[in-house]
Amino acid sequence: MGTPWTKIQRMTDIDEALRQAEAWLHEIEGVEGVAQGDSDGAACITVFVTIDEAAEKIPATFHGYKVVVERTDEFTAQV
Amino acid sequence: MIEQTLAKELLPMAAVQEKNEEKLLDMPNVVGVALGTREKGEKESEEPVLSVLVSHKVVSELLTEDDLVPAKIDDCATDVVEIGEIFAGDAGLVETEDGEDDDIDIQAATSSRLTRRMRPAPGGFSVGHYKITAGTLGTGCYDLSPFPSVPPKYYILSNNHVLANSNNARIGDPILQPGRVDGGRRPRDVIAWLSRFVPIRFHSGSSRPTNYVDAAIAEVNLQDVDRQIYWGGTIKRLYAAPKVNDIVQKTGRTTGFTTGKVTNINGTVNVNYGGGRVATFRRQIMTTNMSAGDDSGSLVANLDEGAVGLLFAGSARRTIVNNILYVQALLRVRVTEK
Repeated sequence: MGTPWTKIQRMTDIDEALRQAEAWLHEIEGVEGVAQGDSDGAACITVFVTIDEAAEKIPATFHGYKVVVERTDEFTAQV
Repeated sequence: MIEQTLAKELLPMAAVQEKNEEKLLDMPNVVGVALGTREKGEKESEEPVLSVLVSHKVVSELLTEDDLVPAKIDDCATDVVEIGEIFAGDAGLVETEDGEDDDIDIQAATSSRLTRRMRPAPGGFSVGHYKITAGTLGTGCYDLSPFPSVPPKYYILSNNHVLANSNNARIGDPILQPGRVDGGRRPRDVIAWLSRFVPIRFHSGSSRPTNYVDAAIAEVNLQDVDRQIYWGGTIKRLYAAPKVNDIVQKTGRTTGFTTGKVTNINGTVNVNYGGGRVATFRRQIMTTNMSAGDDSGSLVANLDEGAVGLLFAGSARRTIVNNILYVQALLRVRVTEK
């Protein structure tokens, strides 16, 4: 009997999943940030986007972690 | 009496507003009351509400029952909307008769801004490299090693873009307290001299180098700096592994004392420094919005005075913080003995 698929996916820890998700920062226009968040008490991947088109290119889950897309304006240095 | 110009269906709500306005305006942080529609994130719904405008929202756990805006008043739904401070114009410099710049606060209302000249200067007040507008003095610090020892030098801690003009500075450059935009002038208001900074590595072509901190220190005479953070206490420990939903606090030049909630950890973000300069930062802590322009450099701590990190960037909804461990390690300083 094989291992359940979800178990295989969860073998990637959140740090590694985030590291891979960081690629979206330069692969998808409008992605300005990727971070670990919390969704209903479970670790999730938060992706900060400045345009709606970017949100459409982000998967709903990644390596078994829920992906939460958050619309943002630009991050700027605060001076 | 001024005639009410509202649509007929809003008149009952306007009556509730009139009846309760004074009481609401007496509540902490409430700066206005209005009729509006409910805001959900960045969107507005059609639902009419009594909007209670606050300078800044405070998480409900930190408020007493009396200080919480009720969800309904006389069957009228309320919505708490954060709008910042309301100013008639801006605080500024006024030239006195003898031609000297004098830092006169021309705001009629009270303000959260920390723009005064202070000696010794505590964390939270205006500071900046002589060529920039202003940022925030985080706290005092000294060389990381050896420990215990007699520190040969003392420093103030803030961001590179506050103390080192985003890499465009020379070691030894004067630092003003308050910052230039708050009336700081050379030589009168020089508090420190740029000592070290972690260079910010900006995007260049297809190259996107990694940054961990936007941080710098400037050497100061010990008698001119107070390690206490205004309204925030004195850092007693590090709290370098914050968790999502932790409550944090900071005191900064523009928004003063604020609290927020950690929303994200381990963040990688692109930050715009103006003039086409963008830099990628990794391992960042993100909170609900608890800052504004010129708050950069504020030391963020938990409610037990444990240092979390150095505030440096944000958006309308989020504040971004460098982890204090990276700040200490890369600048080779310590902000606390524990």
